[in-house]
Amino acid sequence: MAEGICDKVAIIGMGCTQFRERWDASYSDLMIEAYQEALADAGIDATAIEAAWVGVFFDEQSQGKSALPMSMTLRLPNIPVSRVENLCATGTESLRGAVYAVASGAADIAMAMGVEKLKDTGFAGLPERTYGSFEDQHLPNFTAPGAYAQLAIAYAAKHGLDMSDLKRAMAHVSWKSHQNGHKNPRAHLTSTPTIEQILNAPMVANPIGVYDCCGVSDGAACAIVARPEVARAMGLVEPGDPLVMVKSLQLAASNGVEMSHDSWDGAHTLTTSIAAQRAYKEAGIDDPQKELDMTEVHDCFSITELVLMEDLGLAEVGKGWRDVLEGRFDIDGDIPCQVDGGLKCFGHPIGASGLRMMFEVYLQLLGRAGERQLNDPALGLTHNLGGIPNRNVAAISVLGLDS
Amino acid sequence: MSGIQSIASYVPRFCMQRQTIAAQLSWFDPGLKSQAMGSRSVANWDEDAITMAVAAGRTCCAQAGKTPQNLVFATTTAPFLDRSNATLIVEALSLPAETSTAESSGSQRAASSALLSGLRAATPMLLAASDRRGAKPGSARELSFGDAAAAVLIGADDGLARFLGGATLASDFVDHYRTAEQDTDYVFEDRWVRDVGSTGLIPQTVAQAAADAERKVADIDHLLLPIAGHHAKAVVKSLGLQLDVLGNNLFAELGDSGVGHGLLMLDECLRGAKAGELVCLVGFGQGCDAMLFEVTNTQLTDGESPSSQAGSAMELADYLKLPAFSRQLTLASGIRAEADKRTSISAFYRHHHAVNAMQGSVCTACDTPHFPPARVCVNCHATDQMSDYPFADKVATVKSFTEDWQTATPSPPMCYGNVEFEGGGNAFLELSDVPLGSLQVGDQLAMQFRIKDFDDKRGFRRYFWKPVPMTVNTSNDDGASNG
Repeated sequence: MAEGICDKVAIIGMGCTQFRERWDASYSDLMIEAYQEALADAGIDATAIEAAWVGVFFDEQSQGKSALPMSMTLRLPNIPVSRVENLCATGTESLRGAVYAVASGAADIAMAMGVEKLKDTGFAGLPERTYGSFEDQHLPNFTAPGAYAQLAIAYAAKHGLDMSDLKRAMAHVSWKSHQNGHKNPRAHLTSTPTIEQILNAPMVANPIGVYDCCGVSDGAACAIVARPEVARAMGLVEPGDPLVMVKSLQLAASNGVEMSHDSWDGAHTLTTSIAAQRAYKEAGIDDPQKELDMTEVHDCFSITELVLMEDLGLAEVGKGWRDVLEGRFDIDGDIPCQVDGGLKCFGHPIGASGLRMMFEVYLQLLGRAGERQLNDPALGLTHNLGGIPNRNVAAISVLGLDS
Repeated sequence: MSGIQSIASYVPRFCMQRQTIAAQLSWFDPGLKSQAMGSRSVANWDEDAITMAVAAGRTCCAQAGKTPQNLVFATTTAPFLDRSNATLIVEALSLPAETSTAESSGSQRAASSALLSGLRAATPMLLAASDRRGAKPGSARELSFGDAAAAVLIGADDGLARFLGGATLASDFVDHYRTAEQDTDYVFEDRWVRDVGSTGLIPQTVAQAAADAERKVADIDHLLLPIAGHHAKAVVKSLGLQLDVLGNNLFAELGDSGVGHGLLMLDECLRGAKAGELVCLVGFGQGCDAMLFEVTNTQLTDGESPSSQAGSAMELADYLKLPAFSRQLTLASGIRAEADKRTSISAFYRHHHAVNAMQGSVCTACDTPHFPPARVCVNCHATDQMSDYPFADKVATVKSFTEDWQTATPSPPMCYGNVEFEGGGNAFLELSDVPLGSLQVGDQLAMQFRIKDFDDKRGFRRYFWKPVPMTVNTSNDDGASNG
């Protein structure tokens, strides 16, 4: 295996908008908001940025293709700017571009932006889209909740679980995130529904109810990265103060096994476990359950988060639902998950979500999370699952402090 | 010499009691109550004359173990006026591209005329007859009609029934009509139709058919008249026969299913008939066809009788599903239904065997089946070592599923899931005919050719294969998913 990027790149500044139904804001407003905050946080001038990436998913429905909407909005000084898209892993892909550029020495300072203006599409959930000229002729006209609901049906069948028990665990996942999101002024949903309210919500796609779904919102998040020696030489951090380091960035993309081969049981996400093993190796993590202090995972639906705990090796296969019910991933549990409220409370402006998750880990590592602050976390993981359980891109980042 | 080699019927999985219809509409026409007995079959929203013909044709060919060289599609409700419906049926049945195709239409004799011609010429052919008939809400026809298809394979052998002779009569007697501009029939007075049409035209044709067969009318054991019961009785009386010659017209069980109805009656009749008995099959519409058969073999296999299929159909308790499934009633499907369903026709043609016949591929290096067909094996990664592999006849098992209330479908919730095929291969597919709450992981499914979706902007509809439960866990559908 290649030597990887562990400890080669530092995140020197981040910004994140309020995630809301931002009727007031265009994609440009959202980008400017996140960008200004990140620039101020890094303490650099715009001219210091030598390359930039922007991640956006529903390009046709908000800003159009290419990176031009960002370079023109921010008046970037004709630097290389690229647009990336990889489903829900888009935000993490954006950071990957910037991190690789800095790690290679091609740039000293680079920027990653993720943005999505979902609420101009007119849809309550994600908009309809094509899956390909031939695929549309054989794939069901599925929705995201419907595709992920399959995880719950298959999980309950595989582990001989009564659906009412699984539903209770799923409800706990959402309940816990609402409790966390309630304390976060940037979160979209700040209500605190009870377990009973969650369980009794209208059905969206059996067995997923309304409260099992994440919100739908607009938002942007931005990161500025540099090699640590550059950051220190530029005086961007006080001597003795820590830097938030990229410990690992890993992706695993489906190759069709889940969709076409008998070996996949439908009760877990194959790519997540593969990406996690690589990420732990790259970050030098031997025992993720002991070493990780927090996670921000892709809780597009409650069942997704539950299954991901197993795929990430944070719960035993078939036992994750029990760990959830026992509060192991609550804010005061062993490995808090979605301390900021998660996709559940932030909503999921696709291109922004990966960077939004890193923003929370970044704040927590630097002790800047306010009411939600954990006790001296040193290592945090973010995870995105782009696509559906049958075919997807899993993206994982591990962030930690430099020594 | 020619005869019937195989016969099969397809009756949709859903039915509606006529009482359900009358209860909703007797405020409008109290007379409907007098017809509110028995049930009518109801095609799901994703069925039409093509898909039902395919269903009947598959069973018919399978139980004969034969591949026809000619296919005739008989219907008055063809989805396409200028695109070969029959060719689509050929591909869905995985028949050879060399199969000759023809379509017979224009009257309720569309099937009987094609059958008589084929039998006279002793042409080996598959005749698939099917209708999804439209009727205005509140009309008597909404109660009396049913949706169904039948298919018959004829050839030079005696098979199940030997053709003895027949007769045909052309007469522009217009009991009802429908033009290209109309969705439903304009109907003339029933009593006139009975007295002048049925009893005026049918007996003479039956007599001529008997003469052609060198038999006597009095020797007919089973007279199959796909017309209303009181018309049939008048015909029997006019022929001087006893009422017990009348075969079950299936009107009580499923309704008048159009051009295929005579064949459904023949299918039903042959299952109970004895070798040596004489059967007379009649077609009526702007004239008459009559043909005589001698029953030679009653050992039918595989296919279920029409009455048995109708008897096990799941009841739709909600009247509005009838006009909704037939697209007469437009329900608000919201913004998701606005998605453009344009078909890339060049992409379709590139993959038409996959779409129409559910043909996949199998890796010759490791025997792993694939749907959709692949060039690089998902298991051993061998490249371009695939051969064709049919999935349409494979039993599938549910691995996971959902009932999705968010996606736009004519019959929410849409049921879809991951299925595994016997012999290997997995696919993510939309299911059909699944009553809400009835499906479970591990259930067995059979593939059926169905409408995938409608492109109303362009007047197009596309087809694909959907798994349907082989046995349903509940018998009452109130709020059926996909049905």
